[in-house]
Amino acid sequence: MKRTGRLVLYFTVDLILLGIFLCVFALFHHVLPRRIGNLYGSSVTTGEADWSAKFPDKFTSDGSVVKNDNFYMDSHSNITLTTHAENGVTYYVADVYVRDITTLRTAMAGDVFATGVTDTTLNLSRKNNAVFSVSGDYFGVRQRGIVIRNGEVFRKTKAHQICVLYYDGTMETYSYTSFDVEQAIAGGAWQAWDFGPVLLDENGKAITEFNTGIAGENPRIGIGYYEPGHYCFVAVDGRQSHSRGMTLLEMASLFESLGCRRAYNLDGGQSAVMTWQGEIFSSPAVPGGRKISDIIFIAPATNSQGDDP
Amino acid sequence: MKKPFRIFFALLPHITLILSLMLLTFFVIDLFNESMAFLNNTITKYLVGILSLLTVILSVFSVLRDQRPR
Repeated sequence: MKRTGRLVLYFTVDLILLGIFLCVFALFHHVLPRRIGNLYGSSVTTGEADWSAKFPDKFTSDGSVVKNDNFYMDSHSNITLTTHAENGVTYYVADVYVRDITTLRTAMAGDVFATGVTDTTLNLSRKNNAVFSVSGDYFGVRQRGIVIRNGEVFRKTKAHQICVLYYDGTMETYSYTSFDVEQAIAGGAWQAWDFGPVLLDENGKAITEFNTGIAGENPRIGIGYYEPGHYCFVAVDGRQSHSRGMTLLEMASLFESLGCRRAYNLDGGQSAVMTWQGEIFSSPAVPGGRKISDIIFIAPATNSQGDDP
Repeated sequence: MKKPFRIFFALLPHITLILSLMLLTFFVIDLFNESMAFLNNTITKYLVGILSLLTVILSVFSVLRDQRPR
């Protein structure tokens, strides 16, 4: 009896120590901020274009700003927001035209490439004076995954399917095996996200099979591509009484019905937030949404010209 | 056997057990979310090294003890 009691005591102490060690590991691996910095320099700047002639009625020519509750237009961007509620799902579509690719920007929490540094989508949006923003791919929660932001190459190790927005305005999606990071850098990658999955095939048709644990009904964020200079963003509310969320199959069908040629799923769940003119526009699964590493945003023309890259 | 050795050999199975359970936990997490790199990181590599070393010591100690005349 005494021996049994001693054994129970030993194993209890072992389990407590296990818990302590796991917490210490998680602290160093996951929680404490670790600045990584830019190890790889800039992507090759190639194929930059001005699409003001291509979309002449989409931008103001005198630098003025036209805006209301669902619309914004200045000399560099044109954004129309629509809200949809159907089949128990509420979602928001932002139809975005940009005059040049540098208008479609990304921002990192704390302005550093690091793990463990996070902020809310709304805070990041306000700090960058964004007209419109969505949450990104939350690169900081992972140790791997391609990260190219505003033409700067931060991480080259692949993790999932990849989406690249090039300086020439084209957006391409890649499987894990078909993606070559050096080729993307040489081809002029302006942004690259590593989350996924890819939602449309090379013909713009919805992919009908997803082998992932996140395929069910969830809040979601996705980016779609029509042609250089013309993109869309979709935010889906979920895990709430007014909106159940979308499956990946539904999300893919939605982008196909919108007429996109390429579409890509970004970090969803509690991360999924869309902001509009300094306020949260979507209805996140938790108030304010989860603190994340990065956002994709459109800044007013005065912010987006000439400062970067 | 001197006292420090006795303490070390008394603690050895417990340390090995804790490290093994830690790595099993990382293994299970890695099955679900590989990109968080619970297995493929510097800290875990050192933990695997330490566990291997301790396992060698524990095994040698165990074999020697079994071979001892009763």
